Amino acid sequence: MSEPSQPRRELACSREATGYQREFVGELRRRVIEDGEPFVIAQADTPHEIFHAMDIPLITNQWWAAYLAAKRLSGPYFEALERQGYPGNSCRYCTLGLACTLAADPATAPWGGLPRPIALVARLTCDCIQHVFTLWAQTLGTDFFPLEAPAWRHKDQEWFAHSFDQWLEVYEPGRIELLVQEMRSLIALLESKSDRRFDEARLTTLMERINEQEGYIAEATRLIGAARPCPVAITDQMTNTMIPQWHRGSDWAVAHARRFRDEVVERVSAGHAVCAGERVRLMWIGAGLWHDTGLYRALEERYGAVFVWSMYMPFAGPQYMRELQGRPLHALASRICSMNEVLHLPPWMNAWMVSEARRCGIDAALILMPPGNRLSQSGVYLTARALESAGVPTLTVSADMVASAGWDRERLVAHVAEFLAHAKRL
Amino acid sequence: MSALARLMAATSADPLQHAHRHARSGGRVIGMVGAEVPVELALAAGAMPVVLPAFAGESTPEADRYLEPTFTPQLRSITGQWLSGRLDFMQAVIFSRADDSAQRCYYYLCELRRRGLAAGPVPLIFDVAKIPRATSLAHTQAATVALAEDLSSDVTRLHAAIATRDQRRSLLTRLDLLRRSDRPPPGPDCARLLRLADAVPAEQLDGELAVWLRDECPQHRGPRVLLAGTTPPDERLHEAVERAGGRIVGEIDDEGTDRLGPAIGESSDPIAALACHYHCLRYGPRAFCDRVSRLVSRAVECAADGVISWLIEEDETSAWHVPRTVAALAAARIPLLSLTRRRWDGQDGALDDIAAFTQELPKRS
Repeated sequence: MSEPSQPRRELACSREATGYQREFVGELRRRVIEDGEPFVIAQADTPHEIFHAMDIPLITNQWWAAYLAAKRLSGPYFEALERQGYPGNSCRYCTLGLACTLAADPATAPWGGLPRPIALVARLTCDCIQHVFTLWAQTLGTDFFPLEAPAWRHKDQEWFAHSFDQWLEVYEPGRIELLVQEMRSLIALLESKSDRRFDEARLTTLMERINEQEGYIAEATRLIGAARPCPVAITDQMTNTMIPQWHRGSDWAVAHARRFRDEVVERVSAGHAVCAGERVRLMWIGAGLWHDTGLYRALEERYGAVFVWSMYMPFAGPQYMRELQGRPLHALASRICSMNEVLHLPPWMNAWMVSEARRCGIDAALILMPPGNRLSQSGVYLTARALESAGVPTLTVSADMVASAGWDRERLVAHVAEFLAHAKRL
Repeated sequence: MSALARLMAATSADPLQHAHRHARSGGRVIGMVGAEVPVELALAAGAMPVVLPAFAGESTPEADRYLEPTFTPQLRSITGQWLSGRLDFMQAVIFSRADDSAQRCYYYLCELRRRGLAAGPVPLIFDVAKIPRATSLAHTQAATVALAEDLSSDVTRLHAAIATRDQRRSLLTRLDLLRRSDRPPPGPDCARLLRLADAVPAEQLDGELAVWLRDECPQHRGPRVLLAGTTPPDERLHEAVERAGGRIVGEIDDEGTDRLGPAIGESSDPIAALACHYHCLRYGPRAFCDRVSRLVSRAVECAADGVISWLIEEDETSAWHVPRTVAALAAARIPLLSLTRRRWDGQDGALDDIAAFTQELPKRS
C-alpha cells in the first residue's frame, strides 16, 4: 500500500486562532480567578449569546472538558469519581468538569479548579444532565438553571434548507416560545446575581454579526466541499470554526471567519491539496477526538484517506444563521432549541448527513460511538444505514471524545485501513 | 389461590391477552411507554390503555439493528416486539418525553415508519416538561391538549376517566398501607400486580384488587426490604428475597405502589389538572426531587430492615446518587446492598448477592 506524504502546511489563520484562544484563556482566567468577576458554566448547546451580550464570562462545559483532556487529566479525574463511589458507567463528555470539581485537587486542576459561578446552565437533552448539573451546582454552592429540551413533532427532513428564514415553522412556535420565556427567566437570574444588564439592542447587533461570521464559514464550507482535492485539513476546519464559535459575534470572531474564508479561497484557487495523494474522501461524524487529533493526520499520511468533513464547519450555516425578523430572542431560540437534536435524532441527523455526503463527494464515513454515552451514540445506526443506502460505506468507531483510557491509535488506523480496503475504497 | 392471583398469573403468561381480546371485539388499544403517560386521556378516548410489556429472556435482533447499545433493555424489548409485528393490533403508542430511551425510540420509530422499515401503531409523544417552573407547566398543558387531540379524547368523559384512575390510586394507597403493616402480602405477588396492572381492563383489575385487599395476610417475621433503583423486568428480585426468608415491602421505581401519585380529584379544568399532575409527579428520571431523602424516608415508613439498590448498566440517572445514598443510609443505620452496572436479567450473580444480603439481615422477633 502506498503511503503518500508531503510537507503539510497548516493554515496561517489556524495559528492565529490558537494564539488568540491562548490569550483569551489567559484573559478568561484573569477575569474569573484573579478579578473574581461573576461568570457562568454552561453546556455548549445553551444560548451563549445571552452571556456574551451581558458581558458575563463563560466557561463552556465541553470546552473545559476538552481543555482538561488535552492536559491528560481525564484519567485521574474519572478515577477520582470512582473512588468517591460513582459507578464508572456514566457518560464522560459532560461529566469531566464535575469530576475535576469533585476531585478538589487545586495542585493538578488548571487554574487551581473553577471557583463558584453565579449559575450553571444546561439543556436537559438526556436523563443524566440534570443530575450531573444539580450535583455540580450543589458542590459549587450555586444555582443550576435547567432549560427544557421539548419534543419536536414537526419533522422537516430538509431543515437545513429552510432554517434561515422559515425557522418558526421548522422548529415549531411552541418550542421557540418556551425557550424565549426560559431565556427571560435566565436573564432575570443573571441580573439578580451580577451587576450586568441585558440590552436587547446589543443582542440584535450580536446576532447580526453572528450571521456575518457564520456566512463566511458557510462560504468556506461550500468551497471545501466542492474542491478536489481537499484543500484544508479537518483539524484546520475544526480550529477555525470552533474557536470563533466560542466567541461568536465578537470583532475578532467575525474578522477571523473572514480571514479563514479568504485563505480557503486562496487554497482552492491554487489547487492546494492537504494530502498529495488523496485517494479517499472521508466524513468524520460525531464530536472531535480531542485526546488524539493526530488520528486524522495518520490516516491521511499513510493511506491518502482525507477527512473532508466534520460536523462543526458545515453546521455553522444551517444551525447558526438566522434571519432576525425583528425578533432577536426568538431567532436565537430557534438556533438553540434543536442544536443537539439535529445532530443526534432522526430524521434530522440522517437526512442532513446524507445530503452533506453527496455535497462533498464522500467515499466513506467514520462515525464516533462513545461507549456509555446514549446522547452521543444516538442516531448512529440509522444514520449509518441511510448513508449506506446512499452508497457511502460506514464504520463505527468505539472511542470517547475526552477519555483516552483503552485508546490505541495504531489499532484503529489498521482497522480503518481494513474497512476501506474491504469497501473497495483503497 | 385468590381470583386476583389467578388473574395476574394468567396475565403474566401472556401480558397482551386482554388487549388482544379488546381489539378483537372492535375496541381501540393504546400502548404506553414510560410512567408519565396520562392514562386518563386514553380512557377518555374510549380506548384500552396498556403499558407495553418487556421481556428479559428474549433476543432482539430487529431492535439491535437500530438501537445503539446504551438504550435500556426495556425499550429494546418493546422495539423488538414492535418491529416483529406483535404490536400491530394497537392503534397508537404513547412515549413519555420524561424517559430518554423512550423519547428517542419515538423518533426512531417515526423514522422507520416513514422509510417503510416498520409498520405497526402510530408513535405519539407526551411532551411532559418536568422543570418546576411555570413555563414548563404551561408547556405541559399545551402538550396535554395536543395529545388529547391526537387520541381524539372526549373531554366530556375526562372527569369519569380521572375518577377511574383515582380509584386505582386509592386502591394502591391501601395496598401500600398493607405492605407497611406487619402483615405484608408476599413481595412477588405485589410486584406482579404492579407490573401488570395496566395490562388488564381497569374495572376488572380494580374489582379483583378491592376484594383481595380485604383478605388478611399472615404476620411476616422475616427481614423487611425496600427495593430501589432500576425497575426489574419481573418478580425475580422479589423472589430471591422471599427465598432467603425476607420480603420486599416497597419499591422506589416505575412500579412502586405510590408511583401514580396523589388523587387528582374533581376539577373545573380537567386538562389543566392532568397536566399539573404529570408535571409535578416526583418519579422517573426527569423528576426534580431529593431522591436520597425520599429513599431514606420511604425506608423508615416501610420499617425496612435493609435496602437493596439495584442499578443496571444502562441506568444513567440513579448512578449519580449512589455515594449520597450510601452515606445517608449509613447515617440512618439501615443496611444497604448497592449493586451497580448490573444486567437487567439478573444473570450476573445479583440474585445470589440479594439472597445472601437478605439472610444476613437481623430476624424480627
